[in-house]
Parts: sequence; structure tokens; C-alpha cells
Amino acid sequence: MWSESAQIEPQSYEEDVNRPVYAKEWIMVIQEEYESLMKNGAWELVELPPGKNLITCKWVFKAKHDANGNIVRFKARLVARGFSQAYGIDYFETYAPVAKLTTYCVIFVLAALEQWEVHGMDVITAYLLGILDEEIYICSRKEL
Amino acid sequence: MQPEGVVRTGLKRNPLCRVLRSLYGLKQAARVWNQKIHGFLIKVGFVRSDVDPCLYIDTKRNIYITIWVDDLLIAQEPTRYCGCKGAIGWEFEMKNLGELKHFLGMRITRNPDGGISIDQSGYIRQVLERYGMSN
Repeated sequence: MWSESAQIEPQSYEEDVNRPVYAKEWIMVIQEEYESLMKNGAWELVELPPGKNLITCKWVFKAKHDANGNIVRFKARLVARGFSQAYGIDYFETYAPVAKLTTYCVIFVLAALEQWEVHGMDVITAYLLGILDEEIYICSRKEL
Repeated sequence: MQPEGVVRTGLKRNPLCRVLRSLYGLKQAARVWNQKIHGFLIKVGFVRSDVDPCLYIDTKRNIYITIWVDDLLIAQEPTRYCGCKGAIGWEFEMKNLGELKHFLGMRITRNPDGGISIDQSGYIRQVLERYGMSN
């Protein structure tokens, strides 16, 4: 299973473009993700001011399988390499809460007692919606 | 565009990107997203619970929302449900998963008597498979 994934999923953009297996599919999802970044106004082109840190980024690829092992979806995502960020320059606070399990249990109990409906919703490309306070610079390479 | 006169041969200066919106992988990505949705829910009339910072309640309309990064759970009276999705007026692109069947690895079942059961049968099966005990 894992070795199969490694054969299908490119490890880098360069590998992706030259890859005979599913190259078309990978390029298509890269384009989709790129458009989503553009639509959200992810960045603007500037020159790196002196004394600023440069954060590297890379493409990450994932093939989603169904229960029978067939590929159902290709995903490409541009990720910043957070380990190249320096505390106090590129980031300060990082903590974000998530709901407690107890809260979910209480809501389920209330919903059962009061006959409420419980619905789920998922925010598309949630992390692209947050607005940074810090000035962060990433490489603009030919693939971007 | 390079202004005239500052073209230096042999020195290739690529323009760089200043990131304005959060990107996956940035240390503060989860935090700025959480602040964004917090601001939105407050704006549309929800109050953050003192007990759980990810529980938001609209006491007038009796709507409960919990946040798990980008997974939201919305609990409320059925008659108001259709109205609420419109009334909340999400400013984000959302995917409605409908009546909750799976959430954070839990299976959620509505019993005929109106009760709600949660279990982790899918996870248990996965663990058994991983250790070759699925038979």
C-alpha cells in the first residue's frame, strides 16, 4: 500500500512534470490549486527587503483511494516549509484551540433530548482564508 | 518589470512573493484561520462559550456551532435548519456534509427512538487490519 503510493505520488514538482504516470492528472490539480491561491489573493510579487527571512515552499501530492484501492481523487497542495520560519520574525503565537470531546458529547446529548438536527460543514481551503500579521516571503520559482 | 538602467547582467534577481494570506505549513496557519472564523461568528451574532473556546452559541436562535479547524458541527431545531444556513450567511466557501454520519473518526448513528450513538468501529477495524487480526 505504502510502496504503491510512493510510485503514484510525486515527491516534488520537478518529478511531477516529468512523470509518465498520471502526469496529466497531477498537472491539472496543480493548476486548480494555483487558481485557488490566486483567487484568494495569497501573495503579491515583491523584492525581498534586506534583513528579511526567506521561507521555502514545496508541492505536496496525494492520491486518494476508495475502499477498493482505486484512485478517486488527486490532490496537490502548495505548502510553506514552516521549519524555515524563525520565531520572533516570521511568527509569534501559534496556538489554536479545537473543541473538546466533552463538548461534542454534551451537544449530542442535547440534540438527542431536544430532537435537534446535527449537521456537519467543511470550509474549503480554510488555511488560505486567514490573514497574516507577519511579513512572510516565499520563493517565487518558475513553478509558481 | 525592471526599471531601465538597473538591469545588472549576470545577476538574476527573481521577484519574490510576499505572502498575504496564510499558507498550509506556516507555523501560524491554524491560529490565523481560527481568528478569522472567530471574528466571523461573533459578527453574525454568536457568543463564544466560556467553557470551550471552540463552542459558539446563538441564544436567540438556539444554534450551537463547534469548530475543529475547518470542520464545523451545527446543532439546532430541525424547523429552523434551512433558514439558519442562509441566515448565517457564510462568507467562506463551504461544503455541506448534511446530517452528520462520521465526524473526527467517530461514527454517529441516530437511533429510531431519537437517541444518538457514537462509536469508533471504523477505527477499530483499521487497527485490527494493521495487526492482521481482521479475521
